[in-house]
Amino acid sequence: MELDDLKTAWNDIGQRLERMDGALRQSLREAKSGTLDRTRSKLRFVRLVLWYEIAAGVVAALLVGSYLAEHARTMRFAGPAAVLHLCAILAIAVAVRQLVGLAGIDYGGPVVAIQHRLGELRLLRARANRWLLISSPLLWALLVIVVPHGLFGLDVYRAFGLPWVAGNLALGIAVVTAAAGLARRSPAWLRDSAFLRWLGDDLTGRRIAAASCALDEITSFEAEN
Amino acid sequence: MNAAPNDSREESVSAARARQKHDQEDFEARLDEHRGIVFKLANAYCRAREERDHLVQEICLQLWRAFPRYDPERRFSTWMYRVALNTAISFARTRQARERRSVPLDESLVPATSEPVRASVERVGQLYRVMDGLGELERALLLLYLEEHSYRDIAEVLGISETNVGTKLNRLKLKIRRELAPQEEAQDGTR
Repeated sequence: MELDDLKTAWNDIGQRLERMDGALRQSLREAKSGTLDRTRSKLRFVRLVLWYEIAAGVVAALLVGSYLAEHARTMRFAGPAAVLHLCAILAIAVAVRQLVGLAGIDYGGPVVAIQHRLGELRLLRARANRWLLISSPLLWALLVIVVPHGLFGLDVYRAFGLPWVAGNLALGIAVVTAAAGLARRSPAWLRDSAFLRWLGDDLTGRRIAAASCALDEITSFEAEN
Repeated sequence: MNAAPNDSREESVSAARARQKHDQEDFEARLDEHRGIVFKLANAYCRAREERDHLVQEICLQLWRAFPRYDPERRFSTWMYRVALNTAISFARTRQARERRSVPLDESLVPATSEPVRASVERVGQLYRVMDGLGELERALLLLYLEEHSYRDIAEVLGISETNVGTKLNRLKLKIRRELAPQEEAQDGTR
């Protein structure tokens, strides 16, 4: 059998799809009447998440920034606050970069070029997520210094001592390492939950690998050889 | 004194509404004319019925959103293929969609056994197997070819050169021939 013989099968399917109607035609009617459930759009969801990340980042940068300005001379508080501030600004920059990238995408453009740009954005997102998850133990250890001090004036260095602060960092690293190990083994209960699976894929770098692989596939499709 | 600016504002609002209505009617008519594209594309990228319906919705939504940027100087079908393919490929690239690709196909799409078309049943099955074995972009190339588009049209939709289309289609033909040959031999053996 040749590729051209499959055209008959393709036409058979096309005719059957035309006759099926039902939900497919309903979707067309909804799209035409403007009542389509726009909240189900995947792109819209991604944009909402990015806007949320920008808003959360701005709030964090402002709060930590004002704390930093207030305690700029106290190194043991200014140091952690400066790192947190930098992270908040980086998070905003990455989210803005993705949002601008998405806004510039016209789905009416050539398929390969549009998919290439989407692939690059997916890779950027996967990398940002992985870095956030891996650096979370450090962020956690810094947060437990800055937040109690900023909100209640509690100096954790004096109240609990340096070993407690170091212990927090060690606990965070242990939790992330254990989570990564678990995600690599990928037990059934983890695969059953979409959220845990998503978290595991980000943490182990599986999402980065998949995004890189997809981007390579697009690049090789573009190449004339 | 304010009557004149108010009148002109009302005129511009009603002109905008009329334009919007005209755009919507134009979009509806064009979408109706080419609805087969949406159905076939959604089916090529999603086999499970619920997923396919979701993809049809997503394609329609993206078409409506992108319509204001459509250049009437260009062919509507080319633009529609681009939007629909970009939406379908992005949809299929999500992990969930990848996993659901293994869902059994919607049986209503396979010709009923009462029809005297055993060969057709086999061909549809083979076509699905071929499609499942391809990457998203190769699948786009295959379905544009099956839709009998010229190399030039395929090149325009995908954004690659005609030479590249020709090379990739030749490779695809060889691949499909290699893949289908053992299956056909096995089927001949069972008859």
